[in-house]
Parts: sequence; structure tokens; C-alpha cells
Amino acid sequence: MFRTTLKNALGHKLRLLLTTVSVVLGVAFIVGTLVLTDTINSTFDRLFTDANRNTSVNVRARTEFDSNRNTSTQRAPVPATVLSTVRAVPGVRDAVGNVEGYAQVLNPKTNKVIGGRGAPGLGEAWTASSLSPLRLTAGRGPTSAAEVAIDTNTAKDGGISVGDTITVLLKGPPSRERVVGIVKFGSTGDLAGATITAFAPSAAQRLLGTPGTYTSIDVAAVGGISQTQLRGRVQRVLPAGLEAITGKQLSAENSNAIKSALSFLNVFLLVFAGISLFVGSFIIFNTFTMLVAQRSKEMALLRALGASRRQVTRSVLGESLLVGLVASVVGLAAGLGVAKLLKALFKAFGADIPANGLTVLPHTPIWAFAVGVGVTVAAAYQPARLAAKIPPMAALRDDIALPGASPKRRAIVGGLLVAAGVAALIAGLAGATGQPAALVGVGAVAVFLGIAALSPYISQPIVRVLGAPIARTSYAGRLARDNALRNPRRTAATASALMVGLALVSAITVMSASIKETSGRIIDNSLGADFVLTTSSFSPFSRAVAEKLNGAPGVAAVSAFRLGFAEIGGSATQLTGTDPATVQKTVQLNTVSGSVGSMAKGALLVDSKTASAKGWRVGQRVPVVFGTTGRTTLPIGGIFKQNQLIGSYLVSTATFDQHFTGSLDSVVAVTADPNVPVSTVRKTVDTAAALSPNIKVEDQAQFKADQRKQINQTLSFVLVLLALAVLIAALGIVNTLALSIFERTREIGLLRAVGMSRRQLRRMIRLESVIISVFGALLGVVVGVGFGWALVAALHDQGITTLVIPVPSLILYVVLAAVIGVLAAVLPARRAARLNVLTAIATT
Amino acid sequence: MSSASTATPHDTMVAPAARAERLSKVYGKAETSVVALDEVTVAFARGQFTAIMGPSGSGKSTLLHCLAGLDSVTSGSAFIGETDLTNLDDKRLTALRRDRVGFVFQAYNLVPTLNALENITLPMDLAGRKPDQEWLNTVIDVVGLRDRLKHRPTELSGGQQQRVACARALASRPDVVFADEPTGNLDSRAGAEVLGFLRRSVQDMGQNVIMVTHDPVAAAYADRALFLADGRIVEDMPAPTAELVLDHIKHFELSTSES
Repeated sequence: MFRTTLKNALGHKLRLLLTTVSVVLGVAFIVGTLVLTDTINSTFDRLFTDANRNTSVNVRARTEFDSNRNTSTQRAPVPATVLSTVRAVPGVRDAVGNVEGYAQVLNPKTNKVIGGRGAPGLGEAWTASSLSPLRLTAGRGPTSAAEVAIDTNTAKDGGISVGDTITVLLKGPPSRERVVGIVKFGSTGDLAGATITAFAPSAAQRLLGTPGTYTSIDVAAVGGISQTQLRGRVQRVLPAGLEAITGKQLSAENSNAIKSALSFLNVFLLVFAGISLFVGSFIIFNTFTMLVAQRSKEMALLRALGASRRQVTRSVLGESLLVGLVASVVGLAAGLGVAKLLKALFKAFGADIPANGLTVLPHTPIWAFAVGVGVTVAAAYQPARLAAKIPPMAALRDDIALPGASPKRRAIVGGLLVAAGVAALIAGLAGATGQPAALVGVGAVAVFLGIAALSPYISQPIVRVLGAPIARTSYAGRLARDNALRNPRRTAATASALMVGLALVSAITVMSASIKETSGRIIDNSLGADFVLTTSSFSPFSRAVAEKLNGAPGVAAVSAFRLGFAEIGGSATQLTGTDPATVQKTVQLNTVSGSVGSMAKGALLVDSKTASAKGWRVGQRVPVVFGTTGRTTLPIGGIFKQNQLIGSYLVSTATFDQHFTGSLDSVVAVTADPNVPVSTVRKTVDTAAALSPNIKVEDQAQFKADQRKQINQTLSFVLVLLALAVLIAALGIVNTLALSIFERTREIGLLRAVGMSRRQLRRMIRLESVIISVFGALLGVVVGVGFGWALVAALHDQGITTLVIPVPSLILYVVLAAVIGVLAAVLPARRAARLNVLTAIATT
Repeated sequence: MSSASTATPHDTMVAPAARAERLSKVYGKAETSVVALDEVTVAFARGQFTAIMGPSGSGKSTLLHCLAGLDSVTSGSAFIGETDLTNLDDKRLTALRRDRVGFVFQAYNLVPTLNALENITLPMDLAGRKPDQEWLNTVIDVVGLRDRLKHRPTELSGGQQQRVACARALASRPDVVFADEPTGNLDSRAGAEVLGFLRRSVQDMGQNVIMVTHDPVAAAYADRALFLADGRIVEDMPAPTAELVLDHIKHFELSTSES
């Protein structure tokens, strides 16, 4: 039987190609995602291995707030005196104090920040010790204030050489520094986009950290002493509150923090890969159903000649296995290209992903084959079972109706799936379980499968209505409509693939339109300030800006907002610090109970939703764990109405700084004096913001426009990723058309013989394709609007209160689907028009 | 009878319905080539029912296909009326097949998505022309399908399907109706119905029918039987009967097996 399978597969190369392509695209997406994230991971692994190569033991402050899953948490500094204690431990060859903080170099020519784009600007204390990953490549190390060494990449990007004077942005005011050395990081110099500025140790403590302290201490062991041995010895001499860990553990912690931050990206991309494969499985299913129908006579003959049911099933599954294998191999190779494409895509949307080379781990091919073969064989399973049900008698009959699930059962199963899917969606969106996203996903898949099962019933009336105007325009159109109607299941399955793609596209469009509509109002309702200062990607900036604006002429109020992570009432969350004296002038902070002023006395403000969820009242003390200062309790001083700009928890700047060291401002809001012309105030604000060239100054209208722009950008990014699913659906239409034309060869020959012109024939096929596409698109748009409505309803608490259905966009999608239909028909129509009339008629 | 008349283009009454002039058809190239038609010259007068007979591979179907504009010719000419098919491009050939020629194939004559009436009017619908209602009614009545017009092909018997095909072939009042083994898939009773209908269309309706068949009984319905062998016309038999045809076949087979 295997030989028959192989012959069949190779006998129809185009068919094999089209079926394979749909799987290839899905597999390639998965492979691309895995390769990209593995490459990023390995880039960072290398980076941390380089950074910690000679570190046997690392000394740092203990924290009660486990930072493993969150890079934003902070530890308390290590007193400088500990360094000499550690140095005295037997077995210690060398120990150096690290100082780490924020430092970013300005390009002397453009006055713009070098690096950035998400990667940190690191400031460090210079040491010539082998414990440092930095090696001088030119000049010397900085020894006094106003001297720095910069990394090779920064020097290259900024065209900076030894002897130049540069501006460095710091947590305080920017500082002019003379470059005395160029340093290379590790063995490769690759910093994954980050930049390093090294200062003399005392200058580093003053500019980056706190005088008299280190961020941590790195220790090198003498030969023959293991990391664990030395860790034990060092730990014994450390004062309370400090801990020693091995270099290995430090590297692992560093990598894990990055990996968990990246896992979001991984899941995000894999969701799209999953969508593509889901759409692809419709096509595989459809193709194999058609193949079985076309070969039913042959299969009946095989059955009549003594092949068992199982052998027939196996021969179909064998072909699917072959398709799956070929597709996995090709997908694996194409995936490497996809990884590069994804990287380029992220870059185009403003996120430069650090990934050098391509890392292919064993799990990548394993997943490629598992998914590629698995999906193909699973999708072909039902058609294979159908094939086995063909009675041997069918070999003797002329027209064969393929046995299938009874329509009644199909309707019941479809209806149940839709109902269960909707229930899961609602439960997921309401956050009923611990895994709401998974529940939403399962719900969406169930709805899609259910609608696909029901769509043969829906297709009849809708295609009739859709086809009516087309049938009226030309006779070819009339035949096209009849062809779209003749096999409702096939039309439905083909359209379903497009339905899935367009439903997701429409849902995302409805959601982003609703968010956009509401975002302006949210800003109106939450912002009082005239100007907002932020950086792109909300990376924090120097405090000097807000300090300079405070009390400047024409400025009525300035609020700086600092962001940190802490565990409040048992859950890790973001906490905002700001000035209680000015916050009500810059932000619309409406208290439900308590007062804003209580913040000044060290109290915590909580938004009303969180307070009611946790059952908190004003005056109550809630447990808080900070990374630096550990466990404490804070009294609730006030409960305020939800405000999108502030978040759920608010404390005074003083309280914030008590628990977070060296924090920078993330947002600064400025309210102008109403008596001073706005343009004058704007100039003042612009001047202050110029201290940090990566700051954007926006008035309310610009801020709103910016928010809308960001929503648009996210939307287009997601749409680009969803385009793949739509492309696969389009391939499905090509495949179905090609197969059904193959099936109808004789009919086409007859039509041509009795006088259908090539043009009419092409038009007939084109219009059939358009009817199927538009049907799929309409179904998708309707389902998508439903999903979008559910998503918006779930966001109601976040202030998204208006459902906006962007009708022009949705109409555009349907029109685009019609265009896809036209394009998908090009090749099949051309093939059909080229058929030789006589041979077509003679085909049996 | 067997030579082309020299009618003027204006004198269409005298011009044959179809004719072939030194028509050759060669399949393949050089050494592997097979001569299907070897310089065949023949004319088909109007108002006649002609049967083309011959053993497999004699070229009878090829002659029909070339005359009907379904197949290209290697050399010589094929005419429908005064139109030389060898000068036409695909577009004009298509229009000619649609407007001036009717077809009945051995099987698979009908479009399954269309009902009987729609199948009958298909060539005119493709041309965007309204059928001549009176003529259409006559045709439908002659084939006896009035109560089956709304039925789909799958709801009709094999004989009924072939009658629908005949009605379609005649509905546009073509210059010639070509029938390629129209009874090949039918039992003798259904076959007789179809042949009787073709006979009547010539006799009562003045149509021209050219039919390929290997069945002597079918040939007996015709006014004239042409016998082909090895791409040439070997006999032109007026008023054939089943016995005459059988005799010819026996004689011919004997002569070929002796040679």
C-alpha cells in the first residue's frame, strides 16, 4: 500500500505543493519564533557568562521580595566596609566592589542618546581587576572625577575617541566627562544593545549609587578552592542582611530573569504560529477530504480487491504523513529565514532585539516535526476514516456520494461547540480562573470549530444572497454561484480558513478602535497637566529635569512620577511615587475616602477597585515587601477613583525613595500658570527637557495623538502577524479551486465544447473564488465583531466603556477578501482555460 | 456526392452544411507520428443524417472533431458552411461552436448544477442570446421532455439525459449537429429513442446531423454511411441498412485480414 501512497503523492505535484505550503508556513513560524528566542537567550547567556567569568562568589544584600521573576526589583546597597572583611577571608584572591547605575552617553554630533531602544545604559565603577569583564583597548582607566571610559560599541556609534569630552546623562544633572579609555566587554564586545560608561570608583558611587556603598561585591577564589567552599567561608563573615552566592548561581539568576522577561515574547509569537497552523489544518482537512472523494473509485476498487478498511485508512494517513514530513523539513529551513524576518519586523516597529547569529537547539527540530506531522495527520484523520467507509460496491457505480457524519449530528456538535466556546470565552475574559488567557484561547478555538461545523448550513442562504447580484451580471457569474453552492461542505471548509483569519483581524480592529475612541477621554478624565514629559518606551530619565522645572517661571505645578515594584497585600505589583503637594494639580485624583495629603505622612493611596477587591478601608495597615528594605506595613491614607495614568498604588516621593534607591522619573507632568502664555511655558519646559535629549514634551493634544499612534502601531504590528494566517487561508482557496477544477475537468471540457469562451471560463472560476472569499470574510467579520465586543466588555473596568465598530475598516476587509479571491483564482483559472477541450471531455 | 461542390459564398442553399478538403491530421512528430486522417475530402449536404463508421483507430472520431472545430488540423481545411475553421482563433472557434454547431457526446453531456431546461439553453445563455421560444418548444416536445424540464441531470435516466443533450444541440438551430457515439452508453430501447429523435430532426425539422457510431443498427437510421479505415474514406454508402452495414464490415474485415 505504501507504494500506492507514494505514487499518489508524487502524481499530483501541485496539489502536494499547495497542501505542503500551508503546513510549511505554520511550521516555519514556530521554528522562527523558537530560533529567535533561543538566539536572544543564548546571546544573554554568553553575555552573563562573560560578565561573571572570574566571579566565584557574589556578595549582595538579602531581599524578601524575590527578584527572580522581576528585573525591576532592587536590593539594598552593600556597605563599602564589607569589602575589606571579604578580602581578608582565606582563599580569596581578589574582591572588588561593583557600582551599577544609570549612565547614557550623548552622541556629540547629533546630541541624541547612543543605544537606548529598550536596552539599558549602564554606568559602572572602573576596576582593572580580572573580575571585571571590561578590558582596555585604548587609553587608560578613569582615575579621577570627570573621567570616563566607554565601551567599544558606544565609541564606534558616536564616533568618540580618547581625549574627547562627552555629555553623560545620569540620575542627577547631566555631566561633562572626558573620555580617557575605550573598553571592550568580555571576549566579543557584544552587549546586546546596552552601553557601558565606566567611572572612577568614588565618582561612580557619587554619580550612580550612594557614597560609601557598593551595589554588590565580586570575589575571585585562589586556585583549588571551589565556588561553594568559598561561598560558605564568605557567608560566615558577612554582617546580617547580606548574602553570598556562587558565580554560577549569579549567572543563572541573571539569565533566568531575562528568559522570564522573554517568555512573554515567546508565547506572544507562538500564539500567532498556532493561529497559522490552525488555519492550515482547515486546508489540510479540506484537501484530504477532496482527495478521498476524487479517489473514492480507486479506493472502492482496492476494497473490492481485498484491501481492508484499515489499509485504506492507512494509505490516506500515509500520504498525510509524507506531506507532514516534507512540510516539516521545508518549514525547518524556512524558519531560519522567518527568525530573521521577525527580527527585522521588530526593528521596523522600533524594538531592536539583541540576537546575533542563529541558535538552533534540539527542541526546535523536535517541535517542527511534532507539530508539522502531528497537525497534518490529525487533520487528515477524519478524511482517512471516511475513505475506509467507502463500500466496495462504489467501484461499480458511476456517481459516488461520500459518506459523512449525519447533518443532524454535525449541527448538534457545531452548536454545542459554539455554546461551550462562548461560555469559555466569557469565563476567561471575566478572569474566572487562574489561566484566563488559556481559557479565552480554548474558547475561541471551540467557537471557530463550531462555526466551521455549522457553516455548511449558513453557507447555503448566504451564498445564494451573495451570489444573486453576481449571477445577474453574467452567465459565468450564475454558473459561479451554482458551483459555490454545489458542495456546501467544501465551500464552508474553504471559507472557514479565511473566517478564522478575518475574525481575529476584525476582533483586534474593533478592540483597538474602541480603545482609541476611549483613550482621549481617559486622558481628559485623568490628566490635569498641560504638558507631559516621557521617553519612548517609558524608560526612566534624570531627576534633574523635574528639579529644574520646579518653581520655574510660568510653571504652576510639577509632578514627577517614579515607578517601582513591590509586593503589596500579597501580590507583586507596580507602585507609583509622586509629590502629594502637586499631584492634584497635575492629575485628576478624586478621593472616595481619606485624603491625598495623608501620603505626606507616609500613607499609601489605593484605587477604589483594588480596595474593594481586597476589602481595604482607610486607616487599615497593609503588609508591603520592598526589595531593598524588606517587610513593613503601610497605613491606607486614602482611596481614589481609578486613574489610568497613576495605577493602583500611590505613595509620596519621600516614602518611595525610602524604599527604592537611585530611582529615576518615568513621567513628569507640568501644569502651566494660567496667567502666562502657554507658548512661553512650553519654551521653559522644552529647555528643561533638553537636559535629557530622549525626553518627549507633549501637550494634552499631542499626548492623546501619541497614545493613539501607539495603539495604531500595536494594531499594525499584530495585523502584520495575522496576515500570515490570511495568506495561508488564501492558499487554501487556491488549493480548493485547483482541486475542484481538476474534479470538474470533464464539465469544463463540455462547457468549452458547447461554446464557453476562455474568458467566460476564467470569469466563472474567479467569481466562484470571490463568492467563497467574501462568504468567509463576512462570517469572519461577524464572529470577529462578536469577539471584539467581548474583549471590550472585559476591558470595561480599565475605562474602555464605548464599543466602537469601525465599519469602514470592516468593509475594507471584506473588499480585500474579494481581492484575495480574485488573486487566488488566477492560477486555477489559467490552468482551466488552458485545458484542451477534447482531452478534458475524454477524461474519466 | 463525395466531392466538394463549388458553391459561391452567396448561394448558401447549395453549399453543403460541412465539408473537409484534403484534410489531414497527424499526431506526434517525425518517426513516431501517426496519421489519423489522410487527405480526406468529403462534403455533407444539408438536410441529411450521415453516419461515420469504421474500426477503432480508423480516424472517424478525429474527422468529427476536426469538422466540429474541437481539434486542430495538420493540413487541408474544414468548413462549417462557408467558414474555414482552420483560419479561426480560439475565440472565433468558441463562438462558432456555440452558435453554429450542436454537440452530443457519448456521456457526460450535461452540467450537473443546471436543470434540464437550463442545459438545453446553455449555448444561448453563454452567448447572452434569448432562445427562439417557438423553436425551443418544438424541440422540447419532439424529445418529449416537457415534464422533466425542472429536473437536474442526476434525476434523469441515461436515455433522458441523452435526449436533453440532443435538445441542447438543436435548440440554437445550428448549421450541423455532431453526435459522437450518442447511444454508446444506452440500452437498445433508450438508444432507439435517441436515434429516432435525431432521425426526426433531420426529416421533420430540416436539421443536419453527422454521427460517429460503430453500431450497424444505429447507422441504419442515417441517410448515408461513410466508412473510414486508416484515415481514409473507403466507402460511401447511401441509404444504409443494418444488414448492408454488417456485410460491409464483414467483407472489410475479411479483406483486411487476408491482405
